[in-house]
Amino acid sequence: MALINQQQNHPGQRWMLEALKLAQNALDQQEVPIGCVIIHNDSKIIASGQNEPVRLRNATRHAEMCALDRFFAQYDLSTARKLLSESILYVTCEPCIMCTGALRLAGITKVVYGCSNDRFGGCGSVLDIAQDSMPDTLPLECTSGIESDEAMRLLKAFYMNTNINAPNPKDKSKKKKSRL
Amino acid sequence: MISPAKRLCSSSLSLIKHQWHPIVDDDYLRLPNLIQMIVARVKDRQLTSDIIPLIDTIYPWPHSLKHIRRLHKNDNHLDILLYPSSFVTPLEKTEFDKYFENETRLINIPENPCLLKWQYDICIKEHWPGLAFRENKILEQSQLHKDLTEQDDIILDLFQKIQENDKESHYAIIVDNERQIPLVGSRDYRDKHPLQHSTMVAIDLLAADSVYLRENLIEKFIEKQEKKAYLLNGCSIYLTHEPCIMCAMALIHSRVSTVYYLNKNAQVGALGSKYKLHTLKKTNHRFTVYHLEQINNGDIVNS
Repeated sequence: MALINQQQNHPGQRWMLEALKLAQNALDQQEVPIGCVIIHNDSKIIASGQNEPVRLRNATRHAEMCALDRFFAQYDLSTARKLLSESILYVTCEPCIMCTGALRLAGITKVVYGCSNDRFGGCGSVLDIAQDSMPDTLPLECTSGIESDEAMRLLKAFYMNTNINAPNPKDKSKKKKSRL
Repeated sequence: MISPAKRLCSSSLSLIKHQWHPIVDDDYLRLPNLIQMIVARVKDRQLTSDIIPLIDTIYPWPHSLKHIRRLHKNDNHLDILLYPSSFVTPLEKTEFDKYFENETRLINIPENPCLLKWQYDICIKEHWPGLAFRENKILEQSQLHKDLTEQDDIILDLFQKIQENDKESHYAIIVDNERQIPLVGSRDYRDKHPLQHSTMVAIDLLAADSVYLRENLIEKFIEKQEKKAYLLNGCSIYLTHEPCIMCAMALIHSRVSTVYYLNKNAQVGALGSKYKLHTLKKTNHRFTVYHLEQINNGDIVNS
């Protein structure tokens, strides 16, 4: 697993702060607080997304999927692929198995994430879709632990709120990292 | 819906017999791991009540092996599992000679309980007969091939109809199981958008607010159905091709009940070929998966 763990002073930290703003936005809309931005050449946000399964009534509308779909809607396919190959995706929580597959299909080769996702993580936590062989795609280089405390704090805030009447507080600890 | 007569005319599939083959966890397809134990034969069965406490102090029977009976009676003999063959502090020779016959033998026992009858049958026949096993009828049933239902035939026919223009593409149809109504059908648009695989488009079509805005292919053949928002609880999905990892995980997120697919995909298939995502123990939802198999003269041929 090509996992680089850099706790502090990551050059992309400012981009992660942008992703966290989107996660906070999602939280304000009662969505699971996860946000992501796609950064071209470390200089420009070319797409962004936040979790929206509740609003769109579609359980697959994770932040990464929203950002990629928005991006593909703007460019023709070959331009989109070229730009994505020169970009890094920053997301507050480890991409799930579905999103990791999607990132590879889309041609992204670098992802930076905050906290890990023990339930669904596709960058090593549950499966390592980032590195497994997948025809016609490149492996995905992952960097974890950037602003993970803040990402986690938002997720905890979300599950504290929605589970306020939950009968069994044990369930909360299990759920805190899930994406749905 | 389509009339049965029309279906028979159009379906070439009806000429060849097909069955659904369940895609199950590898644990149901192989024997449990085995551990090697030393077995001794008791000299005098009157002394069993002395032997058991003695051997229990040397190697207390672990809780993890409670599916194994330590003693086994056959004909006029009584055999006992002493300890694993790798055990470092065996019984002293004097005590051993007092209770047991000279010859010991090595035998394998399953490390974990047998899950299915065929595993149990092999283990008791070839290894150690003293196993506890309770047959789980539902589990046994889930391992069996399944004949095609009328609903299956209708959907396979629908595939033929919507595939007419492009047989190469991948297609997906989502069905409401309770009402037995196909809800949406989609083709694949990956040549235009790398994420728009038929499964993803079908899930999107069913959502209250579609993002992809693709055509629902089955609306040409059946009346427009109400959207079933958000989750696919109580829905099955039929696919011409085994889904990739992204699509398979999307089906987990969407809480689909059953997946039926026609063609395997050795390179990227995530429900049987490269991964068996639906058997992952960490995820919060599991579903059953079937692959369509052709049956020729009693032999099963992969479709």
